[in-house]
Amino acid sequence: MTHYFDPSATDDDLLRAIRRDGSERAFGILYDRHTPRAYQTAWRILGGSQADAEDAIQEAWVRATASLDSRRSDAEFGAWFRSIVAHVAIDIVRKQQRLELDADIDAALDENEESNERLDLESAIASLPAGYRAVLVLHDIEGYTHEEIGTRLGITAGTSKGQLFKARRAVRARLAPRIEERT
Amino acid sequence: MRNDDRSFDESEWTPEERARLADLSTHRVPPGELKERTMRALRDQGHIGRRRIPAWIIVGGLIAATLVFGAGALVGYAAATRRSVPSVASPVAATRAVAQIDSTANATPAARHVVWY
Repeated sequence: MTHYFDPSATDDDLLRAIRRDGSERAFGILYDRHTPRAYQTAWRILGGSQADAEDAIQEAWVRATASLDSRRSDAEFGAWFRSIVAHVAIDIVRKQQRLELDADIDAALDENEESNERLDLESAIASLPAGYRAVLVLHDIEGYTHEEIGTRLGITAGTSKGQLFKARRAVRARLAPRIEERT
Repeated sequence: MRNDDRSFDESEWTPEERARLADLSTHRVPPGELKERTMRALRDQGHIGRRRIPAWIIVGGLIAATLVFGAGALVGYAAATRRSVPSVASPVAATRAVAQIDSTANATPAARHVVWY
């Protein structure tokens, strides 16, 4: 069955068509609408790895379409989908055993400092160890609470706060010389 | 997802840093082939690209088919039982009836009327 969908069709209309008919056209519109935002989230959590971010997006769409029936109808689809993407991205980091929440962030940054390269904000975030980066991205950019981050990462809210403290300090340390240069 | 606990420590971003954070791009264009790759994966798993029959229709169909089959079987059994009563239950009676007719025929032979002119 082929349906014509206006590109301005609501998410709910598109989701209904996907659930009812498996409409590829409806999925295509939904994909174009929500992937760029979610791809950025995955890309940041995964430290700028394009291949990992692509895997995260594909897996997230598979999980999302498989669980459309259990999605709360009042939840905004974009936010719901991005939460799946964040979950998948963290899973990928964990599988790669890069989610070291007790990593020595100062040592990691010292290694970077040796290159004497000053980074912009995006690169400074990407240069953080994966666990710190995940907490900073989820809290400061995606807007999650420490309780939500704790649930996702399997840590306490207090640990998440400590991670964020160190992550911000590290990012600031990488940016500070630039700020000084400007002033 | 609310930032309801942002003022917990002295590492809080300054207004300038917060502005730089807010300026970070929220969107990133994914490579074009990712869409086709994703759609292929969804097609392979049956989530898109074919008409999906809702579970309630499948279950309802199965129940309806079972009911129709059961009802047909019952009606058929009842009809078969009713028809077989005379033929199966009284073979002896039937034989007796034939014998009786034969004997009756012997006892009262048909009269033959001969008219002579």
